[in-house]
Amino acid sequence: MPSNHITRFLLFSSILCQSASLYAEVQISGFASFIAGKVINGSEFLADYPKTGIYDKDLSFSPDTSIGVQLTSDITEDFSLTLQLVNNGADEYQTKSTWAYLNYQYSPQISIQAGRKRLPLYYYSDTFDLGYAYHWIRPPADNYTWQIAHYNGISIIFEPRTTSVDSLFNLYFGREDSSNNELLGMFAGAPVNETWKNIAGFVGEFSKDWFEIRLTYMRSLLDREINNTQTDHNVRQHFQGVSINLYYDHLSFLSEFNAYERPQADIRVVTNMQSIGYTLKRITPHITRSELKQSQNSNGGDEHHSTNSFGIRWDYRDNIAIKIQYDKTIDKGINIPIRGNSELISFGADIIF
Amino acid sequence: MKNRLKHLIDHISNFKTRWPHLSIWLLLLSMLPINSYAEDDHVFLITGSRSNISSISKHDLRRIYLGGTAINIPEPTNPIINKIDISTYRLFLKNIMHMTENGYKRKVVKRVFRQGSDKIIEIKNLNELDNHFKEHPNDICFISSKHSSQMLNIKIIKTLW
Repeated sequence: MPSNHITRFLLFSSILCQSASLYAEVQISGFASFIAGKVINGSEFLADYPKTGIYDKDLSFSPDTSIGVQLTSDITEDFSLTLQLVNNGADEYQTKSTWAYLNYQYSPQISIQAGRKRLPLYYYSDTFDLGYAYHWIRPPADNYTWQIAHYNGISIIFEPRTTSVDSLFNLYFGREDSSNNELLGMFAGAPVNETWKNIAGFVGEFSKDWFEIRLTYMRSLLDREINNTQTDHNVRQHFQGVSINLYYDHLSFLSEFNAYERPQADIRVVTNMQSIGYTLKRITPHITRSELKQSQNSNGGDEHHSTNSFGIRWDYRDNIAIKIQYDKTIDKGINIPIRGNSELISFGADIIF
Repeated sequence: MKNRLKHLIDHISNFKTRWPHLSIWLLLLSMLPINSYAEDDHVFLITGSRSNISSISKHDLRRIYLGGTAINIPEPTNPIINKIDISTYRLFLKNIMHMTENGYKRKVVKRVFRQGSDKIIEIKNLNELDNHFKEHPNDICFISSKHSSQMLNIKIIKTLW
């Protein structure tokens, strides 16, 4: 029963928080998304690729529902520890540690983290589970199709002093071993173990007044086993992307353009997303188009799907956003169909505490 | 290159057929609300009366209010969001942070969960704010002139507008 898992998670979190606060000054933050959805046309809708959260014709709370608790404790003036535990419906309400790192504040401009973090490939990768941070029910699924969402390693964040532009540079290095990867296992119909090693990546963020731009690049080597048989070893892959966001008073324009390549396997995938929102007091209606297209290769790879969305976010309280969204997905893949054409209605609330 | 130039010329020469669409867009843009500064009331940046902070750059102010660390302030300082007067809060976001209320909230929340930054304290009561500066003299806050004159434990660092 999902509700039992949630109760156990909340109980566990509260005990953890209470005992942690006895020993050190611990800052506790949390977030939750309670989302329900139903496919109104078609058979299934893949809402969360990494965790394979799928809606069907029955009303379901599982694909997008999640609860997270973050504990941050200052060990000394320069060192702090951060732990984030998330319980996702798409993961059958199992609690997983999504962030667990030691932070060293070397200077006001430079901080170094060591441990487990989210892999910051896309604009919303870091806050993927934090529904309150964006106007959709979920970031556009066509864009967020990566099978590896975390890494263990080192991250360096540099926020330089500039006179007029807010900027942030993030360099990261690490590795992730995913055994029985859910997304790849779903596509392959067999257990898949995937390793991304020698990960080296860069993120640059720049914002000034109403303009924001984010650049991202990552390269790594990939190993893959399907049914315990190695199919890929030391395969080079790289990812690059740009996001441009404009905020003019109450009008916001959000966009992402990304490309993922694995030249040795002749794989090239491009994704893009554009969204417009307009905030009227506490109500934000928004429309979005997103698309993923894989260039056809010798293996017949032709994954190609796009989604048009329309939704409304209502900031009901300072820490509660109520949302409703309609999505229509067109799946043009013949050799690699995802879940076919479908239309989804989903609604719910995002909370921070 | 020649084709691109031709395409651009065609595009411009089609202006006659496009102008009705353009007019609608211009009309819609002109209807967007334009906020103006409230000139009748000054807003100050304040700290505790026992604080050694005497100045703070606009850049550091933005960094602190976005959950970052100040570069030129030797003392550890925390920002306070003054919600005693919501219109001053919204003007602060517009004039100093260049953000809407929703945009600012989301940016700070993102930082808290992404970089483990401290949450920013919000205070809605004048006495509570005054007492806060008694206990945390190095914190900073923005406040309207009419409210600042009623506080005992603060000093003004600068006039924001």
